[in-house]
Amino acid sequence: MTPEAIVELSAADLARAIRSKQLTALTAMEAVLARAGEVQNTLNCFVRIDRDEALAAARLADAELARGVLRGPLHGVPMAHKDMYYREGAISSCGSKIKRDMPAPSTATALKKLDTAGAIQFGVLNMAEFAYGPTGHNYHLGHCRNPWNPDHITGGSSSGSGASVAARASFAALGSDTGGSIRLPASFCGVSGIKPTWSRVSRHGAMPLSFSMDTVGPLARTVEDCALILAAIAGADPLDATASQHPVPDYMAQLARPIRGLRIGTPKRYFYDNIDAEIEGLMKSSLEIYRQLGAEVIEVDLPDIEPWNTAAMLIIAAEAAAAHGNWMRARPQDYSDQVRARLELGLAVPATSYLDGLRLRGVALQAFSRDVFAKVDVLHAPSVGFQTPTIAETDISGGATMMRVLNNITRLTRPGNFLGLPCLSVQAGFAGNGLPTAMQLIGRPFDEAALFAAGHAYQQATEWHLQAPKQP
Amino acid sequence: MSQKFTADSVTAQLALVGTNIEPARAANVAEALATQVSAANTAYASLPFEAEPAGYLHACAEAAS
Repeated sequence: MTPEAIVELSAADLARAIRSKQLTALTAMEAVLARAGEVQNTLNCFVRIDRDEALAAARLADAELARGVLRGPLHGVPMAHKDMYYREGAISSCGSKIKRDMPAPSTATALKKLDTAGAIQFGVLNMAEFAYGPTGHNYHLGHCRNPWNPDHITGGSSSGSGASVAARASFAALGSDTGGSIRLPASFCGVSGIKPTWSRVSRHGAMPLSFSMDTVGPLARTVEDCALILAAIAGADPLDATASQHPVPDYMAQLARPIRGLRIGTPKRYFYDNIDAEIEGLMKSSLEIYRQLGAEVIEVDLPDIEPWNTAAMLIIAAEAAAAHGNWMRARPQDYSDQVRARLELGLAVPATSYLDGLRLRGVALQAFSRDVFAKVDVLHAPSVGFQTPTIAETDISGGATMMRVLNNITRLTRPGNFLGLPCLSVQAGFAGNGLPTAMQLIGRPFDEAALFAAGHAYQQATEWHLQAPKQP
Repeated sequence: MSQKFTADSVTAQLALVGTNIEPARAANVAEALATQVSAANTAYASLPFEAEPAGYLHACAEAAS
């Protein structure tokens, strides 16, 4: 198999090929390192590539397999991750100037679990500064660029995760999602991504942004890959008291569960307010695919989400400001203008507004469950309502229009964070500007399996996820 | 009476937590906060007295799953 063909494989297919000894981990690693080197100058998706260590780890994986030792379902699969997952002794810049000299004190549980599953980390990926930006701009590391058109944004904050996976420069990548940071780059770059239920994956060793909203999840080529990786990283963790004890289902076994009869909700309002007409058309087309697959598509009335969205912004702002308080006092000049402006806003949020936001979350989840999940199994909606903008169009810094622009970008993703619900972003076609867009499937708490089954069925019936950008 | 945010009130608030802010930035914060807090208050108005954040979402998620 040629290097070009190898990097086109999904993570699941690559894992199968390595397990069955059709391919070696070393060959896969060499192929992906070569691709990463080819795209880096144009896309700026990597912060660091650990070439020698990765090649050594791949050789070790092959030697283990030759001895009959299979570490796990991701044995030998090369991955790079958002530069906010700590590995003891290594630098995680978190996309910032402030943390670029600070070695991590411990290793993230998600990384440990991926190590145990056999994945090999070969690099760390660009991201928005402290994961606090939805576009992919980074004024310290340089902006990450969209592989479908480098003039356009990748989305953020997991910008390098979306760009590298789409460019076939990583087989999959961890991202994080506090207000849309997995789903936005997944949508803008044309890959799949799962924001799990809040607490489904341990956050130990992951940079905090907003502790009551932060989630850890993968971006990958396919829904199957997302299921494979989430299965590896989900579950309880003694190092993170908030990590749920809820049992982790066998996501891979449930991928093929029947779609016929699945009730898919389509919202009457909010998600389609002022949406781009082409994206609306693509959403209708994706719903038609589901009808053809035997699912029942049902219109649903949603509760009034708009104020929930605003409450979510206040919560994130206040929690981020608290986490950054010491650096805001000591090193405010070391933040980019936009992040500093957002943290200043967080410092001024009244305590009662923050706490009322937290008080609202349980009430809101009950209302949403009553109005939506009593009637349907999965809610279908666009991940974003507009075509991918250019880097220049969204280069807004920290001025007066900042919050309006940023809030518009995250408008359709943030409700999932406020409600703590699992949301799967799935490629749904291309807009007129030639860039991809996505639908998101929103499920009941801890029912990622239903989303994976629905997303996988859609990908078996379509080919959007097989489209790759041209080499830059 | 609705909550009011001004550049001066934001500057004073940030001073309380030991952070300086320039007047123009404080004005931007005040404008954004006024919009956001006002919008959120429409939902807060119907919050039950008993609603509390402790275990707020975790317990609800477990119950709703």
